[in-house]
Parts: sequence; C-alpha cells; structure tokens
Amino acid sequence: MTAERVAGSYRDRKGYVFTSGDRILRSVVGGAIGVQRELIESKVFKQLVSSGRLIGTGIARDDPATLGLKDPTLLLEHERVRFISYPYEWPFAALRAAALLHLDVHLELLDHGYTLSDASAYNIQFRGHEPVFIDVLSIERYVDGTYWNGHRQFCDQFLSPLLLSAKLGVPYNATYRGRLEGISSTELARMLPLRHKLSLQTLLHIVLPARLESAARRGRVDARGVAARRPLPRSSLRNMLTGLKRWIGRLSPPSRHTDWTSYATNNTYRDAERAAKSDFVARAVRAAMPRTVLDLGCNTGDYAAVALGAGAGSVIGAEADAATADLAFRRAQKENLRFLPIVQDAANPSPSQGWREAERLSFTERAGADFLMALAVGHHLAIGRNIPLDEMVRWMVGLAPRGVIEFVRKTDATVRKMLSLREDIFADYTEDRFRDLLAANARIVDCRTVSEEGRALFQYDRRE
Amino acid sequence: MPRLIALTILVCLASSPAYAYLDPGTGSILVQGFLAALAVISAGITAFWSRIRHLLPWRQSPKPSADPSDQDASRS
Repeated sequence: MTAERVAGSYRDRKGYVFTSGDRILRSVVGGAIGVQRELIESKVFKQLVSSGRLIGTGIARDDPATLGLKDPTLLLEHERVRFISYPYEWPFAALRAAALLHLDVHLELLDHGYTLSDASAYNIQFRGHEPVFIDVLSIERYVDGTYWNGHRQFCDQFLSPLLLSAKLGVPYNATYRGRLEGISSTELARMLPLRHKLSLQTLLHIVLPARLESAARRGRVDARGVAARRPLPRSSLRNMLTGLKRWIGRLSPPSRHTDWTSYATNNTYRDAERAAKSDFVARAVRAAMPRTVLDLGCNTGDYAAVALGAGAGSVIGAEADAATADLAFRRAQKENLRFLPIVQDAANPSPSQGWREAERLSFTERAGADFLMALAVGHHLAIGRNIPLDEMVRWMVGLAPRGVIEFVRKTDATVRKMLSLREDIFADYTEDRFRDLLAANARIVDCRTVSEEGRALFQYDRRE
Repeated sequence: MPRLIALTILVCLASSPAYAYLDPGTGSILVQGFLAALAVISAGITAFWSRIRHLLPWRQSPKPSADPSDQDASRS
C-alpha cells in the first residue's frame, strides 16, 4: 500500500507523518534517527506511553521501498487517534488540560535529558476527555544552557487564548480558527487592562516579551548575543515551566450564564418525557453498538452519557456555545466519560484551511462517526438559521450511516418562542415533510412522539 | 547584566507598536536572557551570603554526624 503524506506534516525537516491504509506512520531522517531510536528505548518514553500521556509508538518493520520512500529512513508507527480535533475547537477546560499536559511532558523529559523543540497545540490530541501528546519527533536531546525555543509558540497557542477568556471573558475559538497559530501574545498585551498586566506571570510571559521585541526591533538589544552570552540554567527553565503549570492550573473562565448552560435543567421536557427520550436513544444505540457517536448540539452531555451507558465506544459532541461546551468537557472529566465536546456551529462547521487548504481538515471530513444523535437541534438550524429543511436532513444523514434525529413541531414552546418576534416564513416546516425527506435519504427504522407538545424521535439507517 | 535589567525596566515603561516581520521568538529569547541573568545574580548572592555566614563568629557549628566513621575521623 502506498504512503500518503499528511498535509499538515511539513514543518519539521527531521521527518513527516503519512498514512498507509489505516496505519499512521512517521518517516524519520538524518541525525534524528539516532535520537529517536535511543528515545524509544528510554525509560522516560515508556513511562510517558504507559501513563497515557504520549501516543503509543513503535518501530515499524516495513521495507521503506515498498511504501515508496527513497531516503534512508527510520519508520515509526503510531497508535491511531480516532477523532482529530484542533485547538480552536476545544472548550476552555480542554485547552487548559492540553497546556498542562504539554508542560508536564516537557518537565518529565527535561528530568531525563530531553526537551521539546516546539510547543504547537496541534501536537496534542484527545482520547475521550484525556489529552495525549502525539509528536514524538519534537522530542530532542536537551543541551545544558539552551533556551526554550517553543516559549513564544506556547504563549500564542495555549496561554494567550486561555487568558483572553479568563481575564477578558472573550471566547477565543473564532479568532483562533481564523488565525490557526493562536492568539498573538503581542496583541493580547495591548488588550489587557493594567490591573491584569501587573501579575508576575503576565509580565514574564506576555508583557515583557512584547516590549522586548519592540526594543530588539529598534536595535536597542541583540537577542542572539544575549542567548550566546548567557546560558539558561536547567533549574531556571524548570522553574519557568512549573510556574506556568501552577498558574495555568488556576485559570478558569469567568462564570458565564448563557441560554444553553442551564438548558439541561431548564428546558421544556418533563421527567417522563426525558425518560422516554433516553430510552429511545439507548435502544437505538444498543442496536447499532457504534464505535463513535456524533452528538450534534450536545449541550452539557446528558444524551452522550446515555449513549455511552448503552454501549457506544466514544462520543464526539458538537456544541455551538463555548460556555456550554466547557461545562460538557468538565462533566466528561468529572464522570470520566469517553466524551469529547468541541465548540462547533452546525451552520458554520470548521472548514478545510491552512496550507493548500488541506493542513487542517474540515469537521465533516474528520467526523467519521458510525452513529448520529441530532436531538433538539434541527429547529435551531431550520428556523433559527433559515437552513432549508431538505438540505438540513441530507446533511445530517450524511454525517453517519445510522442515528436518531429529533423533530420539534411548531406547536412546541421553544419554536413558538423562536417565532414570536419574527414572521413565520417556514410553511414547509412540518413533521410530515420531515418524515418524507428522511425517508428519501434513509430507511426510517422507528419513530416515537416523546413530548405532549409534539417532539418526535426518528431512528434512521441509510446503509442499504 | 545590569544593562539588560535596566533595559527591561525601560522597555516595560515605554509604549511602542508591534511589527510582525521580526522573528516572533525575539521577545521570548530576551525574557529568558533576563531569567538567566537573574539566575546568575541569585547564585552570586547565595555564594556571597554563605561566605559572610562563614566569617560570622556566632555561626552554627556543624551538627555531629550520626555516621560512626565520621566520629572516628573527628577524634583522630
């Protein structure tokens, strides 16, 4: 089987990642071969892998020529992460968990004579709610006195987005998605009010670097000369990392109340209706036993928990409201659920972007779910966002071969409220039309009305 | 070293625009240079203080070691 290079793996000249069928392989070239061989045999590497902090990696025995590789190369094979997510999709608690893992892995490596060559947030992925470091090629031998080259990248890709949210109450996801490389700490320094600038850590990691950069630009100070003259002791680097770890561990988003954060406890369902809905979802999941469920409009994860309880392997949640996705992530951590809620607007999902528009793949390309749950979300698209009903049904059914979609009638209190201040231009938004459209795209396996106001659940299967 | 610290204080007070064409790591490298300078100062102060303590007449004498071989050595 031939190798297909992963489009986003082009920055590091020491090697790159490629796929061969279902396998994830990495070609390592040049001087890095010796370091990687030594690293894989090391105690620290085994400790990091066994504790789940580093992706499982071994030396592949394939003949590079059969994969179309010409240069002398070391082939590594990595454990596959089922769903690739990006930092601009992570809620606050997920980005914080990823930052803490990055620092933790760096500190442990440092104690064993290794360091990290960069600090890209894209080097972290999630298995359920648990972060894992995936870029073994960025692990290098530590040379005493060297500086942390990834500091600025760490600040832009982890620290500044977290501070933007924690100190200013602004969700970072849309800005991060637009820029891909995070939130510039130079720009954050301009946004922060004086009272936030006066903390030692903010001065050290945000304000001072921005100011010193300006000074260097004016020729007042020579950065290369400073680095050459004054080695950074390992203890200072360690203190820097532990200081960051302590500080980031204490950061939290301002408590924000949105319409969605309280939805799970404040909605139009009665207990019996909620039980009927859970029962329908659980039965559909048990029948399909999916490896990956996509929970569209997951809210705080009530039905993700139901799906996992019914035997689903893992759940990816898509939630447009960043504060609610954060609550869902913290719930996944607290209840140890194999559930990763991400910030994702169904009417504007993450596009393919970056270099050649392929560096970061679109949400739809990555989702790869076996089962869809689209519960109480369709009316927000069809009525809230004017998405044509036929397009919405086709798109939803295209997300997974099997699933459950909820239809909410216009008689429902939520829809009535949505239409109370606007003209009802949705004459074709009826349950009969929804049923016909679903039947045109898939087989309707089961259907049940679960609320007095007329919320109905449809189980579909489009495999035949 | 004092020049670097003075410059750091100076640039903290000064306000200036940012340009993206410069190596994005320059500010980070300079901050780490500042930390390296602090490490040197702190090591200097520690060394100086231990020398001063050594000269003080009322400095604490080292506690007798629990290791019998050391006690033997002190007797000889």
